[in-house]
Amino acid sequence: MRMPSRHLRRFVDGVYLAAGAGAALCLVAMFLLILAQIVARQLGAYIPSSGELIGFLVVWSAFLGLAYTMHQRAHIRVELFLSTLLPGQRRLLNIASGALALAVAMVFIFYAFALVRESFLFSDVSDGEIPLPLYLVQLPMLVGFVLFTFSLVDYTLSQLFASRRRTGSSDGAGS
Amino acid sequence: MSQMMMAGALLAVLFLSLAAGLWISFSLLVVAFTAYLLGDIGNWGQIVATISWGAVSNWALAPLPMFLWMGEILLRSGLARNLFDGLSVWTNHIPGRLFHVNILASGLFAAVCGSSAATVATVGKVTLPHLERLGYRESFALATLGGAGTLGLLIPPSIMMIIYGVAAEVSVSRLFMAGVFPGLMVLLLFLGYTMGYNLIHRDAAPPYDRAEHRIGKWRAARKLLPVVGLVVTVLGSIYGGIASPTEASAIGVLGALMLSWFEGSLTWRVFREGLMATVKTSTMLLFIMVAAAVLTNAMGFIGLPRALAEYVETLNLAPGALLLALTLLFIVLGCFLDGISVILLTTATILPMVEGAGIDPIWFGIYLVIVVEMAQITPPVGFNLFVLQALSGKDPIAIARYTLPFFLILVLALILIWFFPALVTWFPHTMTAPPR
Repeated sequence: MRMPSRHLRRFVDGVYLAAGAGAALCLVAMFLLILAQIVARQLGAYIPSSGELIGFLVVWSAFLGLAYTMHQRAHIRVELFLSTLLPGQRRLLNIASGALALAVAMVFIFYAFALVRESFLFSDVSDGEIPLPLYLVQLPMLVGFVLFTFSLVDYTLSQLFASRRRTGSSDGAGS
Repeated sequence: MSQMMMAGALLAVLFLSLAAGLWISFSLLVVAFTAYLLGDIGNWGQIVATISWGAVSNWALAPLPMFLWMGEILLRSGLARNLFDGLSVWTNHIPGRLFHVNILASGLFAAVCGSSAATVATVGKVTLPHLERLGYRESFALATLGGAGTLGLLIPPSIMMIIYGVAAEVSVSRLFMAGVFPGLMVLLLFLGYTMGYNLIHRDAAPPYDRAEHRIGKWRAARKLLPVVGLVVTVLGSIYGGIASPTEASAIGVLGALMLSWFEGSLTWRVFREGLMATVKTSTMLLFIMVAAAVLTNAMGFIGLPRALAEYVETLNLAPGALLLALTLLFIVLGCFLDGISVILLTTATILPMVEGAGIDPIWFGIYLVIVVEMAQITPPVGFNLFVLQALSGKDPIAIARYTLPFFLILVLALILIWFFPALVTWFPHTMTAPPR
């Protein structure tokens, strides 16, 4: 199978990286916000909603980073049995894993979408001192997961169409 | 469908998906989905979405990425090098000489880093080539490193304790403090064993050579000062009740950034690489935690943990016998699964049973962390073994054989905390109540 156009590949990788950078920004924001919270406490002040916001930053970083982490093959798996198989058999199992993960991801996206939609329709707001529209807060979870699902499609296709020579090196770097 | 059959079916699904190489997070989700379907739970899709959102939108989870980041910054700094230089002068006259550096450097690095594999990799990259060049026995160098690297989990801050604390709803501050004395105890046992080994095997370490001493003892100690200061600040502020683990973790990141800045190793590139590596590990762990939260919920719906707890109650086992059985189970599981899965499967299924037997959840957390440490050095799947293989090129099974004595020392540690539970529970009681 011929590789898809190189431009497309670069664009897709760029999207993964951008989402990963988004997750990284969440971590930096989390770091700064916690420090600000400590400083404020020393001064006898208080940053409203900061605790809740830190929680949101944890979720955002977790979901936005999924696709990048998949692309970097950093989601862990048990390689014990895979490593005893022939490259062809391993590829088959990789395709099965990719397909099964995709099925799970589809269910997840469907209901995550329903959750965000409901928050939007009922104009739900967060519990903290500063009420934030909940659907906006939940949206990064959905976006991150859609990108993740895309990266799973990418993975499954790459295993499906991988030439024999490439399978050995392109899977297996999980742990 | 009877509960026994259901449990069997779920276990089969779990092992099939794991063996097929399905990612651990997805394997847990597949088991959870199967449980919802078998238990005929309506609306489970909505439950999954709500649980996933709730599982990680949690302030108490912030220390996980923060402590990971702190470790990523420090392992890119010259810290390991400084630890080696600073410690080697001090250990040169003890039997076993620089082998002790492996252990002490791992212990100190563990106190600023929450991960075991990162501890082994960082310390080993510096010490292994050195020890080999000076003529130390390689098998024992690998053994000390593999064994002591496991301290990364037991000595706080520890990623495993954060995961257990959040999943089991136990105070992470108290868990951290509960790990201090068992951590020091294991460290001392390792040092003692190393001395004993070298008294018997006189040729394992090369004879003392004055030329190795490039710096004096006090200059060496100065090299250790920054990292010791960082450890004291981070852990001291939690112990003193001044900071929550979340706050202490951010202070730790700040300290790590300052430390590597003043040392001159903090460049934009190092900063970016450290941050992106943190994103990878933290995302991977948090997603597994999402999956585990869903699994816990599914298990709750089908009532498996409760049934298991009731069943064990009817056996009238003494807590000691129960723990013995669990330990054997965990050792077998630990051969095939990684530590995070062991901890999260435990909190999802058997924690009610353990608490029902009257075992303190904090004590059980430390017990679990030690068991997971053992899993890190048991073949065929042990992360420390893989790291050591990457560093030395040796076969993981051979490395596991070298580290076997250290595995047995961890078993001894389990026995000790069983007979002297105060080793675990006393220290957290003396701390000031943690802020919320």
